[in-house]
Amino acid sequence: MKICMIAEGCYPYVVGGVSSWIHSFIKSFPNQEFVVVAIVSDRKISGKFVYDLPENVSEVREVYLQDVDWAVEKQGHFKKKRFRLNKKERKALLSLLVGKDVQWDILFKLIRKPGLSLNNLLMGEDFLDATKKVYRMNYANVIFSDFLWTLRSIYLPLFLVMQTDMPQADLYHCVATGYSGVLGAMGVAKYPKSRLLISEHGIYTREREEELIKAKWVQGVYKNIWIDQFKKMSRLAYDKATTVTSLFEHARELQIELGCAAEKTVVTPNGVDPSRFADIPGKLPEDEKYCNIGAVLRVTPIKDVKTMIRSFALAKKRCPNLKLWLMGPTDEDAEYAQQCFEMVDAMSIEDVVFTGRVNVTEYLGRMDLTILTSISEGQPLTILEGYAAHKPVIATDVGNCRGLIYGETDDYGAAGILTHIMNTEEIADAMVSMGLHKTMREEMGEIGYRRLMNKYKLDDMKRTYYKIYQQLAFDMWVDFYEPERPN
Amino acid sequence: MSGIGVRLNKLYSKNTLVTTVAGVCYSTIVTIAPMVLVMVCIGVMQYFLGFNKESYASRELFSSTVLYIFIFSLLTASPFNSVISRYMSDVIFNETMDDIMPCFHVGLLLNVVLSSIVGLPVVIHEYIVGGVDFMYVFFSYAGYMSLMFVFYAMLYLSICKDYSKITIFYSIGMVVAFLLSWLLVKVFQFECTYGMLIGLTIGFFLTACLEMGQLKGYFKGNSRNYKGLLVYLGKYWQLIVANFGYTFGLYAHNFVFWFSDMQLVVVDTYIDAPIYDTASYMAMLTSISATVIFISNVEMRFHERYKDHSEMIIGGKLNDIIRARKRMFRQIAAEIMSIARIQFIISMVLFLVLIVVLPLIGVQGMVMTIYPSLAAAYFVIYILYCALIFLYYFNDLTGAVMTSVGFSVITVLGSIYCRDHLSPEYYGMGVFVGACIGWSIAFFRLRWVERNIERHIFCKGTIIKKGDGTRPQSIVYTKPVYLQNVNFKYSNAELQKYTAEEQR
Repeated sequence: MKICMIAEGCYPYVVGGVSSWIHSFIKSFPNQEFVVVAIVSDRKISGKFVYDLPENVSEVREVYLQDVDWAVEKQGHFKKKRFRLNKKERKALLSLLVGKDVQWDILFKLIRKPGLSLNNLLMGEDFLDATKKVYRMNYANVIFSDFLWTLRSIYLPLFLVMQTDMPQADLYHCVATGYSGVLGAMGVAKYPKSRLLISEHGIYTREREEELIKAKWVQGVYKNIWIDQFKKMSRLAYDKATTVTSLFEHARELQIELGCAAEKTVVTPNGVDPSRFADIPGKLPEDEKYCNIGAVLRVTPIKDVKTMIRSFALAKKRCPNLKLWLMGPTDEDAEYAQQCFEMVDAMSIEDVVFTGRVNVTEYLGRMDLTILTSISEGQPLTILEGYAAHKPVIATDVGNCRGLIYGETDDYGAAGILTHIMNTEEIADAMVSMGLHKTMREEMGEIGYRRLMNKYKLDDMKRTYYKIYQQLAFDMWVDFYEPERPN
Repeated sequence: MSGIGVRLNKLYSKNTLVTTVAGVCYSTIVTIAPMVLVMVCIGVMQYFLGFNKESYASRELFSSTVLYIFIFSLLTASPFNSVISRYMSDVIFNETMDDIMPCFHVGLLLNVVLSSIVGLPVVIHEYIVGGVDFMYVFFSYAGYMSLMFVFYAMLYLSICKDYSKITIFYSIGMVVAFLLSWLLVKVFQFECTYGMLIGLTIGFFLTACLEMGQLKGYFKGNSRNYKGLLVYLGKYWQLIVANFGYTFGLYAHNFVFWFSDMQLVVVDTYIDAPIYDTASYMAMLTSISATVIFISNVEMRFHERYKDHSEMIIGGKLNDIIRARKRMFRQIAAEIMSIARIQFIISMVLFLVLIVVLPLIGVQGMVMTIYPSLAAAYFVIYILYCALIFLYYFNDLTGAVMTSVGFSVITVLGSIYCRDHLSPEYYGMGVFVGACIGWSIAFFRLRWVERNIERHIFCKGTIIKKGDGTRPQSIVYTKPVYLQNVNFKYSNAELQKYTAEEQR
């Protein structure tokens, strides 16, 4: 089976949870051919992979959210400046802007029409007419020119994405809805025998919604317009998908709330290979006097590293043997990372170590617990990796952290401490509790390990996906064979 | 032109008959005063220097020379000056004043080259074939080039709203022209036409120098951006065509009748038709007040509506934009109706006065036969001009090209038909029909603009840069993949086939 893996803003350009998941996922199906379609911001990072691509990846194709206006044809030229859409196309464009019964198939063909210039389309009369209609329907009290330019800027990246020539595949596997969902739907529309599988790690629409609500670059009614746009794209992906997976039950409920048919949804928790952590080196002699807290993360604002450092400073005063290890790349948001370094210096906090990107198996054994203070998460792999190494966790109440700590389907007890986001004191308290109570953290670590072995093993995940792939292959009448089937 | 508008608003604000007249007088002075000054100067020269005592040949040569100087300097100035005017507006808007002097130099070069291409063959022909004295030919050419300079520099001063300076410079130039010609004729015993021509030429040259000196005083910086204007010439080629088309149409009917049985050939070079030219000159004077009244009205009333609409476009709701647009176009209709009404009354009065007065001062016969139809034609031409100005306001250059080309082409064809097939009463019908057609095109185009103005405005510009060449490859990595042999009995597809068969 040929699988087209569609990723947005992650694999193989950025290190992170979703990227690692994709990387290990592709390696888990070595006898399937994978084509990676990667949505990136622009051509500047073209080809700059941070992962060694697995043997079974045959192609990487880039899609840019910011680009210049290229005619669709390879050697083609733009058609005359003043071009008009036909009646069907106008209707489809209006349906997209209104967001009701969107005629995506007509739009897919329209955007890939030979000689079409996106500039002429967005600056053209038909787009203006459609905008006027939407404006009169819902937004008649806002400044028209702002409204028009906002709509143009919303649809420009979408149309750029829709110009992509999708590779032929048996299965289009998106790791999010959004733009990658649109590409997956385009693939299915182009090759009707194929299928679309969506594996959502976070809930894309909700994440964008949260970002937009906080954003300063967009104000008032335009926040809602942007949010609606992301909802439209997600609905398309849910409609065209055969199967939609989520990492935990609450995420599945959100998907259904956002318009996904319940019968398409499947919960497929993340999985970690416990054997990777079976014989990892333990504490070094120098570590003995410390209670090591390990944070495996990218030093970026979404991980809220500053709150973690502030909490550590507080906790350190009460429990001097604490030591914080920040393990992960600092180059994704160098400015933020620099601010974190300076914060540590300015506050004169001792025993904070930034290791940079490391192999977690070399360090995790030296830790006494792991920590995660993110303001947004799905189902963090780092918590599961900690569990695999018998380490408890302090985590903020985001994504599925609550489920991982307290258990959703078992009664083993707490495998760590759950705190509120950005709550410095609460996090500091948790650190102190863990630091002072060795037995408690060891018990929690064991609970975590049991929970992992019960539900979150890589084999469990592989088996689930194996079944999904096998079923989809069966439906499509294509061969699906893996020499080593998961137990 | 808003400079005039502000002063006019002040003048009109009391709204009495006296202030109304004062307003009209002021607009008259600043818009047509320069022309009037030159005409008055020539009239005074003729009166004081004994022009009528000159031989018929000398007088005709002088008249033809001055006629050609005026017509062709206006024609050669028309193509580039419209684009220069647009470029200057944008430069002033962008506050990049240092771009003005490079534009001035490039524009001057273009005007000199074009004027020379048109003028040199004529004067060489005049000298070689016509056998005219070299000095006379030289001053004819110098006068032509100087007047071109005057029109060119005047364009810059009028963009700077410095109308009073223009009038002062013209006055100085013409006073010097008269004094010099008087000196040459009366003291140095030059031939009258010689003296007049040299005086006029130096007068024009002095006016041009004064204007250019003023400009140099205004704009001292030089960004050396010589390309800017050339880019605009390519971008706004329609403006060149439209402006030249209209100016050409104004004189095209004269050119046609220069080749009729009214033709007069002077020194084997200058071809004209004094009877037709006099009639058209009088007809032009009958209706020229329309331009003045129109400019003042547009400045005062329409401009406000236009500004309101522009403000709505930037920061208004769609309904407010539509309301402002409707108000603006109602104003246009009102302006055109009012100009037609006022001009009709003025033209009728002037027409009746001229019909009575002109025969008394010796103008009669054929001139008076041709005059009525031409008076009607010029009436329509100036109303057409008003509509054309509105098209420029809305940046509808295609409409402006269609209007001016329609006007000039139909004028030429119509005039040829009238010349060959109709009696002298109807000689002006060609240009009349041409103007009517031009006006109709402009009218329907304005209606079109009214329907499409929002598209015109909102669909302009770019949201994404155009790619240079073909789209680069988006596949950044390829590698052949060798999968393990499918080493089991049946493939999935076969399995499904057999299952289906079994079920059957």
